[in-house]
Amino acid sequence: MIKIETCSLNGLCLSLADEPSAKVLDDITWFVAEMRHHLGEHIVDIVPAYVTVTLYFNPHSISRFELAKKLRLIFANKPDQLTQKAFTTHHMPVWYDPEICPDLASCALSSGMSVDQLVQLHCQSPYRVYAIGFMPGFAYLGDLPKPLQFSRKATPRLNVPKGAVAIAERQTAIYPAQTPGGWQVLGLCPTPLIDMNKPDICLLEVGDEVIFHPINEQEFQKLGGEVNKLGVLDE
Amino acid sequence: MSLMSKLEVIKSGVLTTVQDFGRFGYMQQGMTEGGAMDMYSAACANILCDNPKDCAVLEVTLGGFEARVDQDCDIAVTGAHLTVQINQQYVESWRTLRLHAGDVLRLGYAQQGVRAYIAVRGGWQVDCFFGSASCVLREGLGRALVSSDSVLFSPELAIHPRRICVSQRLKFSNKSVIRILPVQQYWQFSDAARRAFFASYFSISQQSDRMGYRLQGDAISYTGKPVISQALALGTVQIPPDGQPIIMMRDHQTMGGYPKIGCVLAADIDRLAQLQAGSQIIIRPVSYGQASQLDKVYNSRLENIEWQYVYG
Repeated sequence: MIKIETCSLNGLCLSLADEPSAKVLDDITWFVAEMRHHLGEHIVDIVPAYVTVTLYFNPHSISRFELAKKLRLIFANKPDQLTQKAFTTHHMPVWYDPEICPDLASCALSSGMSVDQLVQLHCQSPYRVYAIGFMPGFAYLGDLPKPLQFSRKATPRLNVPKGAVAIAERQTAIYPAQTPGGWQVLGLCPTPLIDMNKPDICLLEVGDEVIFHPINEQEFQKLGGEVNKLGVLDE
Repeated sequence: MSLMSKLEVIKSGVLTTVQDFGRFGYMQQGMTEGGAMDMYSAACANILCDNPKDCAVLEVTLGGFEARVDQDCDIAVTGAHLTVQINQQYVESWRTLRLHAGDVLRLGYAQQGVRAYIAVRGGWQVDCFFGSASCVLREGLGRALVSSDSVLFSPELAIHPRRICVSQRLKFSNKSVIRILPVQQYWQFSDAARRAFFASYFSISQQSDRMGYRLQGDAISYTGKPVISQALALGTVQIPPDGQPIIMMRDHQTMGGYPKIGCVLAADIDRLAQLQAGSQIIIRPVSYGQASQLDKVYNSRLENIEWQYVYG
């Protein structure tokens, strides 16, 4: 059963579960696609995140009661087993180097692993995109394996570079652009996450799968990684 | 053929950006809506120049702005209460002003209010990103104006000057009522916390900007279930662990994980945008029906801005 709440005059927040999981994410991805298909004309924006889908609607074209009714109807027709894999898998290259990203060594040290083991663990399991927010194209990926769950840095960095692959608590992410940030930076990804010249600026979508694999400095440069900007990662 | 004319910035003030009514449909990609903080004043400036109300305007934060135009044009200044001069002659705000080539327009510092708006007849010719000219600094969309920047416009024939009726201009007060629609975790706050929220005055903190307004007052405690990060709407009032409410303004982040107690009505977002740090507000809840009615009133006020021709 879904819970539908008012979150603003023209916004409804739908909660699908109490805890995020890959299963809930599949339901959300399915739900968002159905909403776009059936209710597109009434919708201004759909923002899925973890266990909720928030819908901003045009009050001139539909009332919140009608909309809630239609949403319940769509949800009632959800197949028990979502047969099709509805998401894209992205293989993202990462240059892990403790000299460039000092958090890599400190995280390894405090977890009792070697840097190589830590990198292997970060690349081992596929992650899912639970939400996009914080800044354009910033995808919250989860869940990290237990030994990789570290708290945020006590003092956030003033500049985390574009492409930084970072971890915090149960989540990992790639910074799409330079910004202040408090996550532990493990590596650098040369693949651009946003393209401001496209209508869909984000490479990743909620529900997508991301798998990291390690590359070296030469490969990083060949793939267009910007090395000259790394100096900002000093402590 | 018409060449582009320009307004050349001499002093940019604390923060001057280009704003229109914002961009919509991009929150799912992490992009905020943006837009003029006080849309009513921005719309008034445009109406005075016979532009569509949602044309791009210059949003001058706290005043202290100076610029020269290289072509005759009609402009208007609205919003915060500040002095306006053309070549050191004091002139009225909230009316159409005729500038001649070489004239210097100067805005003093805001005595009341925070944000002034400058519109030009024909509209500023500025870059659009995703359907809007609104600058969002945090997202790298546009940038703040600096001295010697030029903002382009195309010269248009003069119009008969207009003024906004005095009763329809901004009124400033150091104590304002801000109305919210209760949402989501509202019912999970204790009765005592809700009473405290509506009973006490909050003051607008220094740490208030286009992203969010932080309030200072009695701490509001939340004892309900923790919230999993979810979408944030314009006007959402979040209660972080320190109990000091944060109101999401035009450049708000698109997601957040603090409990939400309510959502400020659109009309009151405009009023908040003109409250200086230290101003006192008291928050009142309204029902969905009332909120929806008040929203209709606000929209109709935006659609039917009352102005008159200036004679004599």
